Amino acid sequence: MHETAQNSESTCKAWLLPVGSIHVAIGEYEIVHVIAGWQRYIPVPRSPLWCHHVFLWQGHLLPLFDLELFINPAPVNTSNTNHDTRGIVAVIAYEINEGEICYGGLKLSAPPAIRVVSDDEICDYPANFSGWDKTALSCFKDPVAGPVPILDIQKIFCPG
Amino acid sequence: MKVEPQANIDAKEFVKLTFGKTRILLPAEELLTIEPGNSVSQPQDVNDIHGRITINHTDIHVYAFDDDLRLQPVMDNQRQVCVCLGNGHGQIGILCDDANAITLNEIKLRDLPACMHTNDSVIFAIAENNNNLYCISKTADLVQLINTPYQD
Repeated sequence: MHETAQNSESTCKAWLLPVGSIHVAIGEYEIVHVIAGWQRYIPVPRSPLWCHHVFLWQGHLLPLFDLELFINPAPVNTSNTNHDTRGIVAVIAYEINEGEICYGGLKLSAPPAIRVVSDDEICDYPANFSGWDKTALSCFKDPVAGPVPILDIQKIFCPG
Repeated sequence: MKVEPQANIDAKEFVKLTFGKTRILLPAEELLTIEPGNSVSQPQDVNDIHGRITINHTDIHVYAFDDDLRLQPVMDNQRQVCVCLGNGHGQIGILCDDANAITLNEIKLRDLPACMHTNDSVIFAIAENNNNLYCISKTADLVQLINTPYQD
């Protein structure tokens, strides 16, 4: 009994999200929907390269966030980011002031997979991006994907 | 980011400008006229970024933008339509692929999500109408783009 209680305190479930050549993770209850297939994304001029489109989901207006472009925006022209209507998008829920729930879309390169993460898997952030400490809460080592930052969703969708 | 509608409007008149796949609504009261793109005089100096069009004996500078509203040289621009706009403080012409005056019923206006704001944002709201989304701007904001270098 004692061992079981200890085990439940030190593990949790997370979604492993493939984003281009990297993986990130978010909490088990932060994905509320996965869109796979056609979806109309509307470009918003002069918005960031990595967050250049909006779309409607269940009556809500959501930004579409491309984490791969956020990490490495340099070589991309906005015309290349427009209207990839066939991708996979995770609709993510997060809480802001006093229980208000907000939603955002995160572009994925493959469907998400659930993963049990334990405290003893904590590791340093990957070296491919210097801003992980500002956009992630922690990082764990996956046996296949390597270091996986756990995203701080509020900092992604509500910067500043 | 607020996800609830900022405001609902029963009906509203707009002019819709199309730049490739980008669609922008401006207040209809800022529309002067819509002219064919070939009525725009090409710049005489290769260094001039703007062309000209004459409306009611008034010379108006005409500008071209790409789909991300980055200023482009008017010379050899392929846009088919010139929209002439005025907001009481001046007049400009803007080349675009298409433009028309539209009336939208039961619009829901929503704030642009916080993660989409930049220092040179010109879209501050998104209008939803009948499952279509439109970026909302004003002539004054487009004029500001002409005076502001594009920031990557």
